[in-house]
Amino acid sequence: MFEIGPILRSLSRRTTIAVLIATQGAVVIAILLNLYVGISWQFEIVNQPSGIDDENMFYINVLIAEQNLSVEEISSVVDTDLNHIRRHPEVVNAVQTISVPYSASGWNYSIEIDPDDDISSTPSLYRMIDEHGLDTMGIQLLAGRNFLPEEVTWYVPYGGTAPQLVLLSEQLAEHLFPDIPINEVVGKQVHMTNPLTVIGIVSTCHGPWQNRSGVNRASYVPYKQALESSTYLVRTSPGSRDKVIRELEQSLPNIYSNRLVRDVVTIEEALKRLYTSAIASIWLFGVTSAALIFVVICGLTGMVTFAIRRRLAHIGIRRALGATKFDIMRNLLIEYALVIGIGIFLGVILAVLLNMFLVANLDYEKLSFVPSAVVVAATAAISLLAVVLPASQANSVDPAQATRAT
Amino acid sequence: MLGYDSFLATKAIRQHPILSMLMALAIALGIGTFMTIVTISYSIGKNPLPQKSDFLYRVQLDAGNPDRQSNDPRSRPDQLTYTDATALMRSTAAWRQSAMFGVQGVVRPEREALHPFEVSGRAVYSDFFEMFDAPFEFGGTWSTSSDENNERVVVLSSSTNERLFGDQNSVGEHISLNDELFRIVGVLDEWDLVPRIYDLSFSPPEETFLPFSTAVELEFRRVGSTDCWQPSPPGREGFLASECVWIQFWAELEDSSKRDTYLSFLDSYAMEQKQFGRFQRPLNNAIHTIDEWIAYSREGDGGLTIFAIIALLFFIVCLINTIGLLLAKFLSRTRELAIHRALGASRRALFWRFLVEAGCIGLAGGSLGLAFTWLGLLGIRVLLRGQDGALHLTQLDPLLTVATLLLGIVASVLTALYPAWRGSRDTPGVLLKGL
Repeated sequence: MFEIGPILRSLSRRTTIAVLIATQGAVVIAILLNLYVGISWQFEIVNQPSGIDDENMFYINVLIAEQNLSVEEISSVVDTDLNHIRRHPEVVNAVQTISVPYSASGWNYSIEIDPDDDISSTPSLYRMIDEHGLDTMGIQLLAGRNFLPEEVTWYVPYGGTAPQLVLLSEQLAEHLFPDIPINEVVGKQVHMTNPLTVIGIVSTCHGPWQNRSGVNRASYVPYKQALESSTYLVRTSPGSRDKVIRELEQSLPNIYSNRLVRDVVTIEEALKRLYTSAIASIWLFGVTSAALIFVVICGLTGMVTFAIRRRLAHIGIRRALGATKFDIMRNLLIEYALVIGIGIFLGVILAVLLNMFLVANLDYEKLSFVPSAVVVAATAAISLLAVVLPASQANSVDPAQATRAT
Repeated sequence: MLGYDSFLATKAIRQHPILSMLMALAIALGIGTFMTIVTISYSIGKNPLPQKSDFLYRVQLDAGNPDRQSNDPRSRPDQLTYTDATALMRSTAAWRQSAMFGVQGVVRPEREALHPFEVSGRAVYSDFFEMFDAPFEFGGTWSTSSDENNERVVVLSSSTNERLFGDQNSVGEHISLNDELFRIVGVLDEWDLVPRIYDLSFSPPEETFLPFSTAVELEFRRVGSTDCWQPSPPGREGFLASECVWIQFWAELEDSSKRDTYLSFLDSYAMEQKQFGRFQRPLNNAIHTIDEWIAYSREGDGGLTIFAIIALLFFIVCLINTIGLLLAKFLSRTRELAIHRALGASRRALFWRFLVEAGCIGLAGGSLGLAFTWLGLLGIRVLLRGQDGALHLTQLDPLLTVATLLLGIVASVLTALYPAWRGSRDTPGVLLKGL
């Protein structure tokens, strides 16, 4: 029906070009499939929900230049600052904290259920907040309760009172206590450097790094920091972020003159900075894929054009013997579909092998079935299109002329 | 002969201009992608102090958590505890050595017009500058007695000196650093050390350098990582005595033959410490040359390796492509060649002609590939704008430029071998009959 026999015989007489096309197709599929997972992986990282009100938030880092201030003096500066910021009419709320979302700097702390058993130990993002923390970040309380003002203590360098209470993010609670519903985690004991009682479970908030696993496993302790360097995270009413920034940059040094405002960064800017390399990767992968597809189409068209041109006489004879244009086209398409199909089949095997290597050695993302199938189908379609053009050109030649040409 | 071959080659290229252009473009895209990525990974792994390759060593002591036994050599910490760093500094096993950590300080200028400003700093020992070939514009390093006596002395970077003293020789002057008066003993010249190999950061070298002991005594705010496998005892003294690691340690040996001696010295130090209940894990100390240290630290950072694999595969696709196109091109000219053969050209001459033609296309592809490389690097520079070292990483290297062009020519000539052989093989009689 499809004249597979003659097609195969014709292929076996001209193997070189066919082998080249198939090999090229195989390598291309291997690259494209792996580039595709890379791109979608980076997209997933960049588009991870922040869990906070990105547009109206910023953080400001100030440094007390005076040396050897006592803990009491520093804590009074921090309290005055916080009162000043919170009193601003356009500020919704503010908190002194660490591990600000997207800021690229933060603390990780191991948390476990039982200090004598290493197995349950998991790194968690460590945040210090007071009773304003959840409201500032817009984090929801899913179970339990928030900190009370009298529960917040001061973190001082090299020690201080250890916190007794902790809030866990939903994901951390689920990780530590996989078998019970999260509202029953409230009241449980966990262990960091000392035992802590879980008083609440809160919703997700993005961490400071672009780290996928564990990014949402966070613990919150009731601390304010009596340190010379201090970061305030501020949420403003919609649209007034930039105005508040300008005013605070002016007014904060007036509260306590001997200090530097080191860094004022909007969450949007921080996000952009943090994802610079992820976005660069997406571009690099994308441009590489586009260039690859371009090269392949050009090469395929070129090779097929010449391969068919060498067979013009053959085509002419068949036409003269009564084969229709449709027959010739069908024949050529089936022939090249066979070649491309073999290439794609080998390519999928190669892609899986390459992916296994990348996953095992370089912590790459695994291939997934549906997108891979789509990429394979698209490549097959584009390749066939690259064959149709030269084939129809060959078909349009007058059989009488074609038989004369060698 | 080459002249005539090139003449025929250009003629042949002009006969199929689009096909020839596509071939050059395919080679160019392959080279462009490949070289862009090669340039970046080359710059990342480049040793900025090749003259120190055999002498300078990063030291790792394994004072890690005994409860987490593991045979993985990478489980040893990168940094040292205060106890070990100061103990090594007291020994004389290395020719030069320096423990170090990053700090931050606030400079309060004497001139009223200037506001206090923050500077980056590094707490080091006096040998540091010699070890890392830091160029001095004025003065020099401090004496070993300054290290021992926690003296308030400082070396400024050239930019800090310019900011405070406007390019004057400021040696002997004093600056207020974290509200303490420091005497300036040296001013560095422009110091282009990328990456900063002592901590592998792509930021420029620090703005101030002060004695390690002084920074510890004055409790300068530290920057950099601190890793503790057990809680540090309370208070500052507790922290210094703790098993927390936060200090980088480099040693310079007279020559590489001393390497084993130094490593066995470290092992014997660790054995000695075992008697005090420390170093409970099996001996797992190590020293690394600069190149080894760069490789060790980049291990597991797979991003570039993935790019490199993909770029290499891309290049292979382009080569296969070129083989196919050249084959098609040469075989389509069999009749013209048959005439040449019949008129007396040898097979070898035809073979040569094909290679020259492929070489011309390769040269064009290589040059265009160079332009693509430049564009690619420019694009990456724009994407990485604001990141430390972006400019350094995306610099076209002269050596790599030449390599790009050569790669283009060699690749296209190599890919032309089979098509040229096929094209020059046909017997003229059979082909001419078809005329």
